[in-house]
Amino acid sequence: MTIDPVKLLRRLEWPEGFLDADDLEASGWKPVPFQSFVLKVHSRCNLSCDYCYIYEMADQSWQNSPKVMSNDVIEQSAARIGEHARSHGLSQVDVVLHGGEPLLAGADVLARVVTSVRRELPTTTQARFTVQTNGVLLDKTMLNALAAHGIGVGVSIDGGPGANDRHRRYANGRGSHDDVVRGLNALRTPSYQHLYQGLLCTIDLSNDPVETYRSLLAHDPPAMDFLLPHGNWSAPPPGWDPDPSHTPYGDWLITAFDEWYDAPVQLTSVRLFRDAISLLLGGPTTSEQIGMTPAGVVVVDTDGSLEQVDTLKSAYEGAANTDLAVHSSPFDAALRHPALMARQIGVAGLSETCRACPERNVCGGGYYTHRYKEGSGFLNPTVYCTDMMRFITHVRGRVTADVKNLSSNAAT
Amino acid sequence: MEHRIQKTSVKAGVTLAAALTAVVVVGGGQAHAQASESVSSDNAAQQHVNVAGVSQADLATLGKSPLATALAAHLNGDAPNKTSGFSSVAPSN
Repeated sequence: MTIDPVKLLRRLEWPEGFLDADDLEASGWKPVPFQSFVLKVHSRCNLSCDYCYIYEMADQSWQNSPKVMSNDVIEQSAARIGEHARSHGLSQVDVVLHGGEPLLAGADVLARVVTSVRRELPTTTQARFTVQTNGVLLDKTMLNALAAHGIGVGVSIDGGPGANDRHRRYANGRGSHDDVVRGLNALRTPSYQHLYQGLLCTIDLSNDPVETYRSLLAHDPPAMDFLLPHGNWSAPPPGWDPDPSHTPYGDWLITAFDEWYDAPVQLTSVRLFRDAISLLLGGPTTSEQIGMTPAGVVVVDTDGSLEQVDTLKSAYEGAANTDLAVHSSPFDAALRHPALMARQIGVAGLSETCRACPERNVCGGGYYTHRYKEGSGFLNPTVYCTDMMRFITHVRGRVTADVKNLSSNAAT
Repeated sequence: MEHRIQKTSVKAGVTLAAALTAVVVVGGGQAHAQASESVSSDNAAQQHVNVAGVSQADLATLGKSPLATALAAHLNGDAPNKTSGFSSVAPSN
């Protein structure tokens, strides 16, 4: 018998080897069914962004993946989504067409996914389809196809030309900004405006937060979000400093937050900011970046293998794997995977530091991917712990003061 | 077996020290203990921002600002809309 030392090491890291579905269920825990299904319809990209978690970080499994999701995998995925919806009585599912660059799969593949999933879902389940794209292939032909099948569009862009092209470039080094804006302008025309879902922007500390926010606003997005670049304790993000008084990402977010928050009329919804306020008021969150909502997403790769949230690929080779596939396993099997359970058990899935933290219920330990540390696995605060604390403390202060003023004014 | 682990660990670029650290850190009891702990335990968390005294009339004074939008959604019991496209799940690409 041979022992794979790397696999052995993972068994010693949280949550592999520590969470057992039978034990948890015996204690009263029940898994929350998946409601969001990310389908990797194409595994390659027409851009070569230097921060990409799929191509540029620890896991290089994309090199062995089929380029395009086959008809067989599409049909199996659709059948499994239908099966999951029926067995859990889901009233709605979200299907996100993702990549790589999903539009490289072509309109026919995207249409086949939509048609197959709709056919397999019970009549009591609504399906919402969206594609998350880099935007450079958004032309009239593609938009007509997306409109015909009711597929919403989210676009990734990091700000103005200088900010965006700092990382989001073609393999030959040419920036993508002009092409993305061309695509966005097409998306914003009256025929397709209803498909426009919003913008995703990955933060770079070299980009001014206000300028970045205003550059994105110029595209009139119904919503946007700022994402922290992927990193962890063993491979810290750019500009990260172990000195807890050094909170560059928290400072960046605060500056952007104030610009958004101080507008007399809300110009767009910023997911992280909106969720932070919602959580501070005792409400829910809509993303795993903040808060403790149980993870409800599963990823199907182009070859049909089931993965956890695929940003885990930034942690180590195989971190997103479940060893399951749509051909052999229902999605329920993935719900019993230790890493999925770890993201569904709330406070019990947090490190001791997080459990004792006063902002625990708002922060939620931060993004799971960012908690990794070789040796202890994911049982750590996020590597952005002090940044998140600074940001949340600031938002709490602003909202508390304004609500207090509001109540005082009403009392006089 | 230990010898084999050490030997192959070195080959794979993983030190035995790292593995032992993992045992010490994770095997200290916390991981096993909390796996079976109540999911909803609550002790240290800060209170929510108190909006008990805020009325719809108060809200009107805020116009359509981000705070007004958030408070209105909260007071009306509306769950934040999961903006599709990058709803709860999709990373940037």
